[in-house]
Amino acid sequence: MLAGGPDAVRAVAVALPHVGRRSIVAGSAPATGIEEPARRIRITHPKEEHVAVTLSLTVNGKAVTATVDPRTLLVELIRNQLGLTGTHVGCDTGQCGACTVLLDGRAVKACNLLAAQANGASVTTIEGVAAADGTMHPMQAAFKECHGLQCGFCTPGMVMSAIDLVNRHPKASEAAIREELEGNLCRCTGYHNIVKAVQLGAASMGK
Amino acid sequence: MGASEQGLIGQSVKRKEDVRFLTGAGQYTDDITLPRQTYAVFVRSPHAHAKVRKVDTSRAKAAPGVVGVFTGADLEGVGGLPCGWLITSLDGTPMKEPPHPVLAQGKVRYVGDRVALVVAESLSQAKDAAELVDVDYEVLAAVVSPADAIKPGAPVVHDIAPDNRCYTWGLGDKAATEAAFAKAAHVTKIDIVNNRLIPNAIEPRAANASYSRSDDSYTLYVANQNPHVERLLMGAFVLGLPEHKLRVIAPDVGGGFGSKIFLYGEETALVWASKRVGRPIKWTGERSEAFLSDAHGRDHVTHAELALDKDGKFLGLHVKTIASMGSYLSTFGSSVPTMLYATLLAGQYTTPAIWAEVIGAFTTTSPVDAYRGAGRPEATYVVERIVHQAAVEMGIPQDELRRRNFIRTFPHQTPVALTYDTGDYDASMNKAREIADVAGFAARKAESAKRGKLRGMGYSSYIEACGLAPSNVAGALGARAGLFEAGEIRVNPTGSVSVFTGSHSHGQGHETTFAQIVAARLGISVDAVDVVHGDTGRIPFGMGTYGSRSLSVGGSAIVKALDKIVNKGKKIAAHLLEAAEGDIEFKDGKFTVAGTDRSKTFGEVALTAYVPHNYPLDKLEPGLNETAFYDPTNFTYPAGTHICEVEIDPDTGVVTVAKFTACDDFGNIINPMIVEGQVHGGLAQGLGQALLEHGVYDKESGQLLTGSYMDYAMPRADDLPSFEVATTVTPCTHNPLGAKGCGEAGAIGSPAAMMNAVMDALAPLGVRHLDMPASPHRVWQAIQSAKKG
Repeated sequence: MLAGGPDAVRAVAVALPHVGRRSIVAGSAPATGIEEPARRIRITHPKEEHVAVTLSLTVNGKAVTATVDPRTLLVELIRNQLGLTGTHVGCDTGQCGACTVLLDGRAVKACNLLAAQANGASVTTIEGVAAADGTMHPMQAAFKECHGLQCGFCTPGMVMSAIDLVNRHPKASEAAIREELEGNLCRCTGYHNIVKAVQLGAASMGK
Repeated sequence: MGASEQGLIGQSVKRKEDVRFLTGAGQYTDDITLPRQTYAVFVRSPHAHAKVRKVDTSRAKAAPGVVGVFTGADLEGVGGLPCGWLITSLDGTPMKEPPHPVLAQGKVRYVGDRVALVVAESLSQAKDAAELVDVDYEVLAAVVSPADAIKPGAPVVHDIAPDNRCYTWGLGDKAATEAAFAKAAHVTKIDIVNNRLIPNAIEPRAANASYSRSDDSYTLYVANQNPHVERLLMGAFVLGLPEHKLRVIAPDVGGGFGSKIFLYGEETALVWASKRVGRPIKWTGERSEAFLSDAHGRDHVTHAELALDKDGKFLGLHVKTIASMGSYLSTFGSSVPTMLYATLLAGQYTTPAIWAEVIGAFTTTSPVDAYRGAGRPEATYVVERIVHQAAVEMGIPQDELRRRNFIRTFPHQTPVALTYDTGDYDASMNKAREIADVAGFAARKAESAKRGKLRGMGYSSYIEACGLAPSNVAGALGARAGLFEAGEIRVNPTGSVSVFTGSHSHGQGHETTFAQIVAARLGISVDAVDVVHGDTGRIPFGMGTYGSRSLSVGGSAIVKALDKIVNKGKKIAAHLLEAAEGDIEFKDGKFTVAGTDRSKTFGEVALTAYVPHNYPLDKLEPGLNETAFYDPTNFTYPAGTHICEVEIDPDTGVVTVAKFTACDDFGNIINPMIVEGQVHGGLAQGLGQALLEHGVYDKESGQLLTGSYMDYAMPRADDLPSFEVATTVTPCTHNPLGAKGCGEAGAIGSPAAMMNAVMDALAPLGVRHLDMPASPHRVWQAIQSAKKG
């Protein structure tokens, strides 16, 4: 196994002080029934005992309790345990933005956060932005209207970033939109129609 | 939705597939988790070139959760990955085809080469166990550049090719080309490098393989552009599995750009191992693995010479290219720098004599294969860079020199094997110049100069051969596969329609474009048509999506199947209307007795076909379900002119694409919105190549230096401008849609346009040479070198 980019990310994330980590609940037995070597979490558990953390958070408006290995990334919790596969993993290293979700309303890259860091927080994924009756969010509708997507893989992250962008800068110029979208890679569209979609989405959200 | 043919064809219908992608309901390979799922990690070579002395898997096998560990030794008897195109060298010998093992056999030949497969209960356990596989390597010297690889004394990648040459191949007429140079008034010479690119579809490659004991069959989910080709190659050539025992499903696929055409060792190993472990095995590449192990693109070193008469008429073109194959022959790697490259060296011009010689070189790098454009961007780059340079040297305006050499009579036989059926190169040049406001360039340049900036303009009048391909022609040229496409129209009893196509959509919007074709023809709503693709268990045998072929070849197969549906419908309607079949007309969803108001709707005819109470059962089978295979009679030839305007900061070397205009001729267009989107994406990849992207290996160690998004500069939103795109139309003359294909044009035309613009901007400083990508570092260095003289 080469490189281990994600492992490096995990190591960094574990070492970072963050409010979410204070409420980690360590248990002594693995809740998954699968034995996991614990050496990657030596920093927090010098005795190398097997641990699991139980988290409570809100995901797309619903209360969720989950028990995870401490090294579980937020994106792994979302995709693998909660089955919300609309959030994608494109690079594992925080550069492509395909995994972008909203954490307490702000766009974050879910591959760059531990699940434990979302304890107590409210997470919104692409599955949670449409209205209860299924009507798409104005930004989703704008992406369809402007052909702002092709293969669809970067799209959920792009839409989540765009919503956050417009929330912070409702009247962003084209240049500002392009700069703000720097953290989201798209290989299909050349960004041309994504920029148009964000402009239209901003106008619709403002109404 | 207006359902008449006039109303639907040429209309920017919003995409049917968008809702699922926008709401997180897409189903990509990694989204699929099967009961009793296991997870795979590949142990990869950390060395570019090494003998594998020993692989010890004992510690890994004993690790928690491990289900199986496999190495090359376990796969003895399993075939190697095949190459789909035989190239024959000038001396008549076949290309060297070294074994391409699924897992390394005795040697590794690039960083990332697969050494072992570790399967475990969880991905974390597989990763942990992979680190416990002990491999004893004897490190050998690396060679990463194709030009270095063919030098005497270079490290030998494969014993069967001691000079690292896969082939030395030629196309054209050498003697005629030499004669043309002998009478030339002017000769322009150019040395260029076409930089190695790494495809980087945002969805990494992924696979999930399972074996069923109940019927001794395998199912493979895989991120792939052509599931039947994958099944054929893997089943027949590698694993010895009959095709009816292997189902390949390519579900939603997150971009391909060529990199997901090929049969890779990863999914092959998974299918093989799934029976051994008796459980489904999932592998999803990490981005670092994608960088190392996806087939890369381009990587040419070329010397070219153009002979001109005193008026700038092209007399002859001589091109010598060394192209990297990488470490092994990937599925179509051999054909890209030969059949898809040298055949395009005439460009849009009447050049009467061309001689191209190509050496395919093995290097200790990731295999090189088709990447968006595949050979045609490289050909365009040679032709359009040398034409630019010739115009500069002869003092002829860029557009004028091109016009003096445009092909204007069709069909046109080039000296490099192709027959262009139609085109109007003046039309696209004129429209591009108008949109680009060429007339205003001098003023914009002066304005830039006031701000201390250099402004330049560059042209690229490209052509491509798409719609692969007439199977007999391809076969005569060495292809080991047919290149037709299949389509099936299944009219359901209540009148909705399921379309089964061998084309695969991984962003191209086939579910909408193909539905428009069907809805327009049958006079039904687009919403009543579903397009099914990507599953060998559901679709007829198809060749998949690459080479801008889906509409021109796959769409034509659908049209042929529709013809059969309409013909059968007329027979049914004739019976119902008690009229002669020849008197039945079909229009706007109605079968009508000509000259009367007596008619049956499409829905009535469909229901009759499945409830055949009043039906000519003695003459006609029930049902309304037709399949067609379409094999094109020629390639299609999309062409156009791209004009790029750049602004350069001479103090920093930063190049800004100030304006980019593309005017393309794709023949008839079904959905302009989707076509424009395809052009935008192609332009981003072409400008990415010219401005930012470069796959770099360390010359000594053979390590990939650009192995992450921190090192490999992908175009981001603020690197690119908004594009000006337009089209002109000369319908393709030999397919029923008159369509030529639009998927690759942007990536083919734009690199030369941008680099010509950069050279134009830097010309006043005396810069004579610059290779892609025009990074600030390179541009600044070129400026400094020119200053020193």
